Amino acid sequence: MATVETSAGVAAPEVRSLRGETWRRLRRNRMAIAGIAIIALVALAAIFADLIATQPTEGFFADQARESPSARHWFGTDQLGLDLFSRVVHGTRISLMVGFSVVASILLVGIVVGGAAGYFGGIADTLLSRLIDVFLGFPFLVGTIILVTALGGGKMAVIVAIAFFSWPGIARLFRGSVISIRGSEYVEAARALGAGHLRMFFRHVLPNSVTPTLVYAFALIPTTIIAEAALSFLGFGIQNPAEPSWGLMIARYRPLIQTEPHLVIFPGMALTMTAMGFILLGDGLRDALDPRLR
Amino acid sequence: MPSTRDSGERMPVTGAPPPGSCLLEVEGLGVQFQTPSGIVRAVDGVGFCVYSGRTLAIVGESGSGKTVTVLSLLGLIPRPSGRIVGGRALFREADLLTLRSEEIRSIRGREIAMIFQDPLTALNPVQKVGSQIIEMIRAHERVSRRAARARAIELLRLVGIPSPEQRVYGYPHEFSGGMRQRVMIAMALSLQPSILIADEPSTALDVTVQAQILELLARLQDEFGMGMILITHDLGVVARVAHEILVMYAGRMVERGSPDELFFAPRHPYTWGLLGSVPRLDRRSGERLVSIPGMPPSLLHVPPGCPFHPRCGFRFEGCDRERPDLEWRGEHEDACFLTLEQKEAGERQVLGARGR
Amino acid sequence: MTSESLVDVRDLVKYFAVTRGIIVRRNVGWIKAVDGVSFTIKEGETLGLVGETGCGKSTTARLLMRLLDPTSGTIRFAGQDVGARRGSQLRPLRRQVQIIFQDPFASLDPRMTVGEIIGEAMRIHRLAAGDAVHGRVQEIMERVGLNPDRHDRYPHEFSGGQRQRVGVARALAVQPRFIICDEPVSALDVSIQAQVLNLLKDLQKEFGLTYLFIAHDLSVVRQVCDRVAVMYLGKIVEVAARDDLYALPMHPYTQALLSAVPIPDPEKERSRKRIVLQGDVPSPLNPPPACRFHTRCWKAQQICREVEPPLEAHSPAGPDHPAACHFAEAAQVV
Repeated sequence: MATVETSAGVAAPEVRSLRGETWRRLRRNRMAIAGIAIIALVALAAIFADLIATQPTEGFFADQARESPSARHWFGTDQLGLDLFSRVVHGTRISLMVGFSVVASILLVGIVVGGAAGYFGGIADTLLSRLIDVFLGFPFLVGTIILVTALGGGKMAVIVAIAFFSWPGIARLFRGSVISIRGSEYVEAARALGAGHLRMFFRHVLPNSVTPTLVYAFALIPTTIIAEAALSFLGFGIQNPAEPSWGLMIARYRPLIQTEPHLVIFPGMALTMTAMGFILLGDGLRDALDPRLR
Repeated sequence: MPSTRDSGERMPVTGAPPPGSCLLEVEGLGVQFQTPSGIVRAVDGVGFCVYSGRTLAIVGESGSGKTVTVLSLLGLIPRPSGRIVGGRALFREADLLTLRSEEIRSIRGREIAMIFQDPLTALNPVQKVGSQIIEMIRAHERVSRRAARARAIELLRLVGIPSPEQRVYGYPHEFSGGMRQRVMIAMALSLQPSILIADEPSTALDVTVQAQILELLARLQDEFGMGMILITHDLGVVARVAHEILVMYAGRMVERGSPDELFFAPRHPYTWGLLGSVPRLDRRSGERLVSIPGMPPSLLHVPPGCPFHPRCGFRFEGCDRERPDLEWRGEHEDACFLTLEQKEAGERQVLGARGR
Repeated sequence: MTSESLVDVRDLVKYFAVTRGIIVRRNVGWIKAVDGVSFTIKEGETLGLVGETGCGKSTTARLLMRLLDPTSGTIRFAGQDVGARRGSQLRPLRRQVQIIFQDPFASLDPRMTVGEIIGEAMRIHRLAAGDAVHGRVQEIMERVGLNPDRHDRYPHEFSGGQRQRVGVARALAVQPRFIICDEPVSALDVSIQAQVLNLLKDLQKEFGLTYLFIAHDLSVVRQVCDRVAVMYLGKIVEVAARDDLYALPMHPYTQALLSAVPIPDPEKERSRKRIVLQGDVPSPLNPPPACRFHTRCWKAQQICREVEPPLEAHSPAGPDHPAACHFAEAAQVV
């Protein structure tokens, strides 16, 4: 009650764009800033991997196998004598690549399917919604393992398999947002002005309904990174020893955990930190974009 | 239950204190909110008396501070952003503004009850209405569930809900808007409060239902002698039910008096504007309505001097510097520096020769 | 101006299906939102359509606007049947008929600047291009009382009254002949209400606009309308010229409605006779048979429950003031 009155009194002279307001709120969130810092670090590591981690990530160097962390090998070396630090740094590329590719593709599919179902409604909605339900009913891990095996393993197979079983959540969320915006008066007003479907969808419905979906998709990046690691760890994802996937590293070094625990700890920490960075920023974004949660 | 009763006649047109006892006396109330953009002066120097068996209507547009005024009396101002910065509110020798939260809680609902504009948000959607009333009673009184249920049924009957024996087991969504407001009123009355605060009780309802609710409130007031504060923006509702009217603008009081005084001899330019801008059922106000130019000020930057001066067609030198207080200015209380003659002329100019 | 009517609605019906089930949808009933409504509006005239929640007035507006497809009945605009048009056939109509919505907060796209909102229709109908749109937008903003310099601001930076002016500007942008005003002032404060009502009146005079003015507030309707139609549960129960309706309402529902509206005049309020109806408006899902008002009417007889009173018939007040009641009789209630 009180907030209604005060906001009515305050609203008029304030001049701030929506985006500026979001950024202002995000900046005030310390956890989100920490998330941004971590992601920036990981991204820099991925971009400049060849400059930072100059030691070879494949091959066999018997003279320096199984060394403990030192000034020369910060994270130590593995049983092949490969520098673990270099492998972990190069691993960021795989994690980020898988994370972003999966999320980008499921956003595309989810928005098309969810948008079509929500915008057109009726029979299209009934059919597409049932399709979404079928996918959501499938156990994620079982599904991805089967599909990644069928596709013959490797990076691309992992991306396709995870994406294949992740888009329905996005589609369902976006469908809901579209339905609520589609019924709003300003969309009705646009129709009354003679706007066609394309204009109504892309000018009015999409910009106003996509935000929660984007936030949700962002929150799927860490899940995807972890899923890739899990698949690779279980022996179904990336299996080429030359590709330094963190999950694969953890699997390969697992037998050595009692004698050389750092071999498991460092890739594990890299995985956890990266995932946490995205989770923190994702939470921050959600809070900043949803004024009700303030 | 106070036994003071009167037949519901309006206050005499003179300035004599109205009959009945003053239940609640508010003086110099000030409420501010700390917001990211600065301090919002929501209420500034508001005072009034609530008499038993009488209705005080607080009239104003959104942002005038009318809701914040009553919320502050019940300790419902959101903290820590909201702060009471001055004044007192005497109720049974206690100052409501300084009571501790558990003390005010024992008064809220029991002594001073409140009903809101939107009954759907004020009722718990997953609890039967009967249980909600019973809980309310048992939170304040030591009575058995059975006795409380009997009273809940009696209350529902009192507010005109048909077959209350069955409806007591209904959920809020099973009631229509008007019926829900009746449930809210039954809840508010369950502890026989001496003061009922009604914040836009009929605004969300259809006119035929609004008429029922207003009639019900008047009947209950007659029956129990409650003092009532009615918050509304609807001058028609005010004319129908109020015994005394307080007009607010930008958190300040601008005029106070009996309905006859305020409708037939308004003395503040803002009141003229309000009366002129309301379309009337009984006649057309010519081709165009009188309208007040501009819009109410942001409470972050209340204009200096008289807060209405930027929109006032009668302002003169000094209105933007000195702040007029609500005080006796010859006929009734208003907050305008114009002389009585100027006010009479001004009213004629704005409102024309309105038939009575 | 000719006496030819610009808008001619005959036996307009809109039923909404009530469905159950997710995969297989079963029809479990019909909401009879609009059930046989007929009226005409002359060029330059303002017809008021009043009634309470659920009476079908907003559905009627959306049918006229062709945002909804009628179940049956005809809608003629400027002599042409537009009720059966679909999709792109409706485009020419959209230039001539516009709508102003009730809620100035919900009816403007929050992610567009007001300049884009007002200019959108010009772009859609290619009424102007490039910089010409810009100039035209500023011209219209000026006309409705908005500062044209603020064209690049977003709706949330405007107050309720100003937002409603943006809504008016958007409707005006296509230079329509007919504007449907769906409760255009009921969300606004009284002093702002008067500004918007005056603006609508001025624009009507200036551009020769025809209005259908939908409202629940009978006082507002009296101020702006030339003729008034009263709706109850999907049907029109009475139509009359403004002053006739307020002075001598014939239908019991109109009388109850008028008598329920408070008048800002304490003396009148004290002396007025008041008809307080019992109960709420019945659900349009299962409206009462025959005369739909009989469940709340103090005059109801057996015939009211059996025979539906037609609107056109033998009205005691003459052919220009029909009332759908078997016992229509004038009474002064205001």
